[in-house]
Amino acid sequence: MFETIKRVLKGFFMGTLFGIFLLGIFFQLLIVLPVILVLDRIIGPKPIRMQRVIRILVSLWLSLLSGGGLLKARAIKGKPMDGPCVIVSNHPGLFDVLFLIRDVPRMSVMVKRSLAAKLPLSPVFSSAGYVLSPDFEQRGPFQCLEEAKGKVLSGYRFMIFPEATRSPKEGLGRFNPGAFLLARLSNVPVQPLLIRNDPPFLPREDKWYFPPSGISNLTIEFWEPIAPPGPGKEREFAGDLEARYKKALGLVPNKNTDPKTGKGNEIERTSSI
Amino acid sequence: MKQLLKELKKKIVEELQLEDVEPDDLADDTSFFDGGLGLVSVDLLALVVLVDRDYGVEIFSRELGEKVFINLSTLAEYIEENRKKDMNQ
Repeated sequence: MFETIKRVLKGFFMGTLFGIFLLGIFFQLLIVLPVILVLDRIIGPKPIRMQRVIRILVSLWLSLLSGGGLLKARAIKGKPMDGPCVIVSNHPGLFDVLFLIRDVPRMSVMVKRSLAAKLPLSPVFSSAGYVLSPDFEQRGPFQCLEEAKGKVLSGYRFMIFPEATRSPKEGLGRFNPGAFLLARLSNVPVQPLLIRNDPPFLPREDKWYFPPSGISNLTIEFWEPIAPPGPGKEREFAGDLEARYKKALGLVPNKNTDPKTGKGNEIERTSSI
Repeated sequence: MKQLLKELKKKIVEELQLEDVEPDDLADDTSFFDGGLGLVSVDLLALVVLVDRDYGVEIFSRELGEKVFINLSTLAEYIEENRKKDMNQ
């Protein structure tokens, strides 16, 4: 009972934080964006300007999230590699990308088009050099791939969640080889990054208005960068990396998994971790 | 061509782990996007990887991709004309 009340109260606080988030969006649209656009016109466009502003605002918002006893980043292990690369990460919770935006400078990400449609953020994302996912009407997937490659070649780190969506609760989705195709075509290393989130904060199955009662702890681990896959090796590369993530998370692949197709890729939790 | 289409349908269903889709139920003109398989961008990139890996056919540019990835038939036709290898995976 006490637990439920605590979760409901935290849900109210979460709602307030979403309200603050919305105010931040209006602040960016009405104040920051016009200033940045003027600077872009005078000095020349530089996505890093808007990225800096976003990082500051995100950082403030995450400190509220932490202060409210919802989600706290405990530690960062390792560091992002210098120079352009493709960063891939597991995606246990709703706000993972905010932590990554805060902690990884000079990084572009692929943003869900639905997010840009629901929140009026397209001009902010464009100004920050983020790539919107395709809508299959005005911009196809190949255009997005080319834009992402353009970002990498101009010196940005590019972040992709290879599961393409949030991980299943306490699990890991199948890695899509597309992220690694980008690394191969851009000829840059892949830097894997592991997010541990205990207990998982707003995984796909949970409702935002009913968060966990205790504080959720998040740690980020940068792994050593690895060379991009060779031609035709992206699926194998994705499978190998997925296995490394499962091992690190204490998950083991189902014995019946077909290594070629990944079919039957359900996960079992080991008792040791 | 018919054999290639059949093989392609099977590989796509397996690669993308399309639930409740049987390869034999897919029509040759099934679109990859809205009204068809409803793929999203990362799925398409997975198909690009599959076509490159299994047939040695590279479809990396936007111009080409938008012509080829219309439906299963257009993809099969392009592979048939340009395939370098058939690893039969």
